[in-house]
Amino acid sequence: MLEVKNISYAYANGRTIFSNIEFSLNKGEILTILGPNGSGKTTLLNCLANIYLPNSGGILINGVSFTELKLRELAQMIGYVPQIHMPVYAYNVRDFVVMGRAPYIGMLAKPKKSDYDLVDDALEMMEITHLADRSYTEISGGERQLVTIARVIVQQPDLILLDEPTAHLDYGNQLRTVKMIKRLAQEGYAVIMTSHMPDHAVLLEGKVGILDRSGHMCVGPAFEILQEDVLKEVYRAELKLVYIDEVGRVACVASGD
Amino acid sequence: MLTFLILILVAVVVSLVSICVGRYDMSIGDVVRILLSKVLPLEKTWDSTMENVVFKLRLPRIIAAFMVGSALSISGATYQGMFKNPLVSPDLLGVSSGACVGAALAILAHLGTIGIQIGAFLGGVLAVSITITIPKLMKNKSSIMLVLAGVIVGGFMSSIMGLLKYVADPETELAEITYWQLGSLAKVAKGSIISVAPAIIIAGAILIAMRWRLNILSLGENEARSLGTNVSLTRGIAIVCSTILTACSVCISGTIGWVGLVVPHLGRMLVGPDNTKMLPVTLLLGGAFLVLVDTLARTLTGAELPLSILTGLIGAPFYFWLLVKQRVNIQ
Repeated sequence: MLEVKNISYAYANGRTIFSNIEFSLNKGEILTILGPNGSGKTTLLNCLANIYLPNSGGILINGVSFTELKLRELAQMIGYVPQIHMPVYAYNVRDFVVMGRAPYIGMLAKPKKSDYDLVDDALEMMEITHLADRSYTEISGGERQLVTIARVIVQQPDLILLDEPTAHLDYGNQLRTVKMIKRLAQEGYAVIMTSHMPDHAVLLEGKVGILDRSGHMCVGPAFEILQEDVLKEVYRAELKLVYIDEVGRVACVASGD
Repeated sequence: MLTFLILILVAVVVSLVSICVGRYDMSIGDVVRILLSKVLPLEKTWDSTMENVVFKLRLPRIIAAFMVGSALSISGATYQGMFKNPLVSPDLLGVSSGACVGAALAILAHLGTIGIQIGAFLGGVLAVSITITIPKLMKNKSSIMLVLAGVIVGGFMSSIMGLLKYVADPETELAEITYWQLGSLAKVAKGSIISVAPAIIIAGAILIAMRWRLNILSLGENEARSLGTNVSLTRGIAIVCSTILTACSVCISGTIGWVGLVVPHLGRMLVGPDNTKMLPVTLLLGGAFLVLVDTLARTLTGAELPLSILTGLIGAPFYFWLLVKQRVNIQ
């Protein structure tokens, strides 16, 4: 469904962020992009969201190149969940979520009742109906995350991109977000997220891409890509992948010195 | 919806009271009868002077005040949404400072009232055009670059304005320039209202029609783009419409401060920040507010007070009160 063909990105001053990145993703698959600070994870995600244009290579969605699609058509296929942020204006949650319908609504029109019905369904799916009339600026960071995911659901895309969805969240909310992302994949969305937590990639069990300091990314199944020596090199830290009986899975932990 | 109906009522009442008061006082009953006589066959129980005062003097002025007040308010609201900043006014991109230069040049060239109006309009539009061109030259489409360009153009126009005032004859020209800069509807004529009304109505209608898109723009450029919005195009249309609204207002009334900044805040306080509700409410509020201020301007003292003096005296403390009341988180 998504095919990324040999894309590279460099700043105007010539500094290359990443090069020759190639991978594909199908419906229901999850790709977690890991990498050190400044390696270009967000830049890569922004290229996939058509916010930045790669310098070379191409991206195809449902077999059509980004360059042949209108912004509106692309937004009907790809939804973007930015990092948790505070908008300037205190829109209430329903009015905020309905903005996900923008790709389906004309320039001079406003959302109809059917759009608001989709909003109510999405709020129900996310189990945040009680927030509907609250102001988006008043709710907690974790709740804002859920509200923004509800917005991407009413956008009805095939692919959902999330920029560090677990950043700024407490541990419980991080784990709930990981579960939510798994659920999105089960519903049939393809999901790509960036993360600083290799353990989340383990939990998600999907594909993993590690963007290294030289701007290359290898993509593959989590169990293949997540190797101790690779993680040590990427994060320049003493990391271990240990099987923990009590939780029945491999976990990525630091040794403590 | 209820707020909207109440505001329509408020606007009508303020306008009716405004027709009654002035150097020639009339009772509200007479005024209503005079107005209705245009549509209903009423027996004439008033003298022709009253009819003249209503139709030739006060009604045109109230219509002008309402139009200018609404135009400034919705262009202020549009800018505040578009630039994600509740502290900006319609002057942000230099429209008012450009209009001042245009008007001052016309005054120095003794071009008369119509000349001043055309000069102000062209000056305002030219200043915004320069502002929009700067980011294009820099190949940087971000809104912060646009704001900086507005600061550059505004500052440059202010300096030209200083120069023009410096060379103006202090007895006549300088006085006229200063008075014009303070804003007034005393000299507004039916003809000039009719000539700007179509532009104001069309530009206003476009902004009202696209008001939901302003919500999307207020999320920021990247998010708006990821929601399928062509940011440059949408922002361009909004800037053109706001500029037309402000330039048309300024050309019949001179520059009037505070309205475009304060009224949208009041609107947001009444119905929240959602532009689908806020923009129509702001339109009514702005119109009613300027009718009120203009009525005070012509009735408070024997002479006409310039409008910006009153909008400032009312607007600044009012703005302070709004900020306290809303406890706005401005970092």
